[in-house]
Amino acid sequence: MTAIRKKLANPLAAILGYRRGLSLEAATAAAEANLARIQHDCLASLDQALGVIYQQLPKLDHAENPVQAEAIYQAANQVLALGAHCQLAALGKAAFCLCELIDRSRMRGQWSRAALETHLQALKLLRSPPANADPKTEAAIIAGLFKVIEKTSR
Amino acid sequence: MLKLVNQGKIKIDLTRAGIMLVDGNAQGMDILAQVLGGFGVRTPYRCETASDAKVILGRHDIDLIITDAQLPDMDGHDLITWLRRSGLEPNCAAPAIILSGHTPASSVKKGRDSGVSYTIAKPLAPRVLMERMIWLARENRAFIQSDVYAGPDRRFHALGPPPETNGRRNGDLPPEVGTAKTPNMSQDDIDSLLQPQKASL
Repeated sequence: MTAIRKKLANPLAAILGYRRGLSLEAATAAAEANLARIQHDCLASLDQALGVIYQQLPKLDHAENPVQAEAIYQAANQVLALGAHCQLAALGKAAFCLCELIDRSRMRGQWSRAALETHLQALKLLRSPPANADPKTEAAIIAGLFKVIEKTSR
Repeated sequence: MLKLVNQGKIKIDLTRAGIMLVDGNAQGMDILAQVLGGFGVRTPYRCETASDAKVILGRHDIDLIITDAQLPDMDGHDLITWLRRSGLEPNCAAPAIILSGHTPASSVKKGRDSGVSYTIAKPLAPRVLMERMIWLARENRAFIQSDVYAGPDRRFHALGPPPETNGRRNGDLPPEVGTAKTPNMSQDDIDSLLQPQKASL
């Protein structure tokens, strides 16, 4: 096996300097501000993806339907990507859990109706959390979902 | 207070950088464009598909590629693998960042072998993207071409982040690595060292 090792000029080296450009803090703050401006659009896309999950997940039975499972997986991935941009970070984490559950279920070829239902209810709760919900409660829900995944993967 | 690097006065100037964004999801592209707009990128090349990206890569010099892992017509990792072996100079060695949502266990090895510079997990946080871009701007990794892999040198585990960057540890080696004294490891040897395993959460 031959391996060629080349030292090439770094095309990004020129972007850092002391004279021109934005301070790193200013650039990051501007990016955050830009994201805040599109929060409503993100929320609309998030709700669209959640709609797919709400509609498809109850139909996903033990005899796995690969197309349905993939549609739910993709929608959950979308929620994962958008949650934090809509001030719904815990919802995004719950969507990650659903992706993980589907991935493991596909690998094992075994599906748990109860585990899927638990994730569905968690998503609904975290999308519209009660006014008195605190980060500790949300963290406990996410921790519970990870436990469900572990239990169903044994 | 946000402190991205040890040198507080450093600035980033992306006004003349050739940045290419690839994302088939309109909302994902919007998020990327907004973040990079905040960073000062003026007119990035925007591609919805890998096919569009290949056309741009054949026509323009690109300084940084940021692509989603899932594109409508091709996996983002496959796009980078294609680029690394395309012979398109200088773009074939351009830094590339993959944005990934949940990664199926079956794709972990693909991510390791595709030749990407870094993978960033979604949701995309501006601070994380900024950090990785600074790492890319400062690093001096060699470009490796072999029968089984083409891309930035992956053997930088003990090197840590680039010098003068937060996160370096006392035991991290200096960035310059001397000439190899022993034969290259076989792919099987490398695989056995890097066997992906699912973390217990």
